[in-house]
Amino acid sequence: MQYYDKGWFGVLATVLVVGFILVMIQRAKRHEGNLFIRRIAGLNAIDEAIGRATEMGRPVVMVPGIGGLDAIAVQAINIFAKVCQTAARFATPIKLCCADPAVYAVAQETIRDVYQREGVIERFETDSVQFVSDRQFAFAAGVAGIIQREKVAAAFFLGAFFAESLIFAESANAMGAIQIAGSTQTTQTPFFVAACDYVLIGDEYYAASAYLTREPILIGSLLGQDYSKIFFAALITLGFITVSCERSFTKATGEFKEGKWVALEKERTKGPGDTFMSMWFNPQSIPEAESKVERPQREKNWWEEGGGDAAPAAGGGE
Amino acid sequence: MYEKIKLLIGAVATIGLYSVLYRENKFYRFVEHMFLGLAAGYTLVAVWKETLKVQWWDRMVGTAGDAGSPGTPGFWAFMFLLPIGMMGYMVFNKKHNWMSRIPIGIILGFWSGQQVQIFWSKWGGQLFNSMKPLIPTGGAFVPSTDGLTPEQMAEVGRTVYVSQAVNNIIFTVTILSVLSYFFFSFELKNKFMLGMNKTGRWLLMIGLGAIFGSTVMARFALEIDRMSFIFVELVKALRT
Amino acid sequence: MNLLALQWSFRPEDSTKWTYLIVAAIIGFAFMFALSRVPTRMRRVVVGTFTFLSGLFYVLLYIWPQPIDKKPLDIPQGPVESVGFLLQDMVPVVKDFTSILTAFLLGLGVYSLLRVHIGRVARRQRDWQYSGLLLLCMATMLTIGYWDFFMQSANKAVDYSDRANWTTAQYGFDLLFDGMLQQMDAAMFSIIAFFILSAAYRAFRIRSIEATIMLGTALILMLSLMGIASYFTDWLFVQKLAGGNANAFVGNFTLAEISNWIKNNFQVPSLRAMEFGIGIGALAMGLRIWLSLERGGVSA
Repeated sequence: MQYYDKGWFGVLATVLVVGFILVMIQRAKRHEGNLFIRRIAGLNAIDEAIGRATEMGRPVVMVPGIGGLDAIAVQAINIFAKVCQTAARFATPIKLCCADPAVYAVAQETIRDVYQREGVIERFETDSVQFVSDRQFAFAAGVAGIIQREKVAAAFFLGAFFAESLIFAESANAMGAIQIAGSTQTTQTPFFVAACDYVLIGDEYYAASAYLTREPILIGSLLGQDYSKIFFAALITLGFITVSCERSFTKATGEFKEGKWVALEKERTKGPGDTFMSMWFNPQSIPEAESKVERPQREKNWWEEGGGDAAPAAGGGE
Repeated sequence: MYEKIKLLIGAVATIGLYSVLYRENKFYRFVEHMFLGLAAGYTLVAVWKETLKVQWWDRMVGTAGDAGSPGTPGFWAFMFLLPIGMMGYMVFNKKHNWMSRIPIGIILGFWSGQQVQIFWSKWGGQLFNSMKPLIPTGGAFVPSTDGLTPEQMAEVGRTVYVSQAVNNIIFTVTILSVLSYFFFSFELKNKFMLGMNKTGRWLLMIGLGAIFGSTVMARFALEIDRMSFIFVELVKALRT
Repeated sequence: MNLLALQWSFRPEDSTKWTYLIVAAIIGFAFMFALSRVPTRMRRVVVGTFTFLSGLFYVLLYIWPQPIDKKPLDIPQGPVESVGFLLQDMVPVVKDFTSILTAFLLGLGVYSLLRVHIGRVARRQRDWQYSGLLLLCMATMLTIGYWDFFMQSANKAVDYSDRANWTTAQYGFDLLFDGMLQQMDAAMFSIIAFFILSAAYRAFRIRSIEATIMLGTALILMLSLMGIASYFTDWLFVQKLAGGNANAFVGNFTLAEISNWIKNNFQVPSLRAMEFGIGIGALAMGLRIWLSLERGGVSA
């Protein structure tokens, strides 16, 4: 029986990265210790920002991006939970504006929980975590309005932001608020860098929860991520060394055509596709002859009669 | 007449939203709340029209066929999604609020599984493309390809010229140093790594600046488009 | 696939259809009720199981051998292929679960909106008039939107793309959606141009090396995209030096060439390195969520 070649190297690399992360988490769980994390300025500024809002008696605004519910939004809410912990202690008013109902549900639950754990549930107002709009620019207009009307003193924009990022950052700036921002959208990072006081760049965003809580699991995971990055760097290094050598000192004598190795009539210079790295990274397509498989046929369902359009798949439901 | 009213309303709304540039004011607040209301109303229409009816209801109850097509069957198991969705509403219930985590867990679970699934297809190709040859195998510059046969052109494509090798070295240094900037859990003590880290940050700033510069012009194009809407289209429409 | 010989589907005109659906709903809600009785210490396990199973689908989809040349009527050969077939068949169904569930949760968002704004109107708080306006606009859009939708789905024979067939519902919807909502979107989108200017101005005033590097690069890219600026600088520096020779070496130093060079040799690798980190970070967080390893915050 034949199956599609998904590329052994890809599966191996994925397993390795997953392995690094899980093994490091396990190890960190066993040895609780003070592991090193390099300084992340944006996160050190959180207390400063809340302190200022408390002094001025003005609210802290938080926006977890405009994406749907995924790890990016969850991470934003994790950081906001930390912010709210401090805000709850000092009775600083908060405003958390969501653009996705599922994110709203998570935020509502998490933030209420924070107030509960701090023992000041009476300070939590249900409406301080609110859903504004799930339409990108309506959300932008709404949040810009809230920022300016409430005269916020500190603003946290963390999550998946797109073009509207600057509307938030500049509205908060107009109010003289301290802005701490971070986006996993690399295309928005430069705008945050230009407009905000502190910015979490790249995966500083994912390092944030480990940095703030110093929890062994998170630190272990961070260590695993670092090993994965070293693995990537090592691959690139190995790649440029072998690719350079191969293309300078060896000649191509054949090439893959439809999954079969065919010898060339004349030797030629190696191109990017002739290196052995290329064979690791690009699984070969199957030869035409092997791509057809005849199997016994089942009877047609009534909805498959006639038109022959792709039928809706059966199954489903949790 | 209808077109004129429509244009006029659009222009007034635009000006209302623009007024926030001066500062938040009553006019802005008026348009902003209208915007939020309309958006919420529209979402409630679209959620049925575009999502629930197509992806859920029609597949659950089936659609009757018309001439030529036999219709589609209904799969009753889709009904199980409804109670799962409804568990989300438990978030306001003090005793059972934990149940809202079930639909959320499912959504997050799917997302997480997908990260494993797409990991290599997303990054493998980019890694491979980052392995550049640094040793030149040809002359100083890429020659002009005018009048070459396809074979000769392919040969030019395979050769690494000195200028390309230099660019490839820049590329490799940039990618490795920026990558090293994002190592969090190692205390960088040796001079080489510290230098690499700092270089990484500066090179990253060049990259970010390049995005900034190329996006600015796209944003101005939008701005010009909007201005022409107010000053050209509207005036034209009102005159006729 | 005849699991338990159960009838999984029915014809849309079947009279038993509603019985099936109602029974399914009752089973579903009974399951929900049963879950609400789960003892406290088991709650984490329940949520974790749901999360794990959902994630497992895509993980299996990746690691399970994918059968070659699967056609709609094929019968799988052997257990490995059966699972492979099942996974492939489930993809079109499962991929919509997230959007269906999110759609169900939309009510929560609307509840939040209504809570905030009805509360403001009822208590006559500051800006309550605007909240009233919001509610009014929402109700109008909702009414006209569904009026238009039901009219269009009831009269499939009528061509509503032709304005001659429009009634009040279509005019109303067009005015609200095309005339207002879309225009407001465009207005907010275009307002960003002003904010870019003010942000860049402030960043230029911070005299740090980093800000200067970033905005200096931005400036080169911007000029290269501005027709007049690049024409002028290229004429001044490049064409004069080249002296009319189209293949001259200085020809590589036009603004467009320089900005392309910056993009290919600085922007691409630095962003790629950054995204490698983000991708690995997302995978790590995905794993922690999938295996319920996150503590505190969201999955306390």
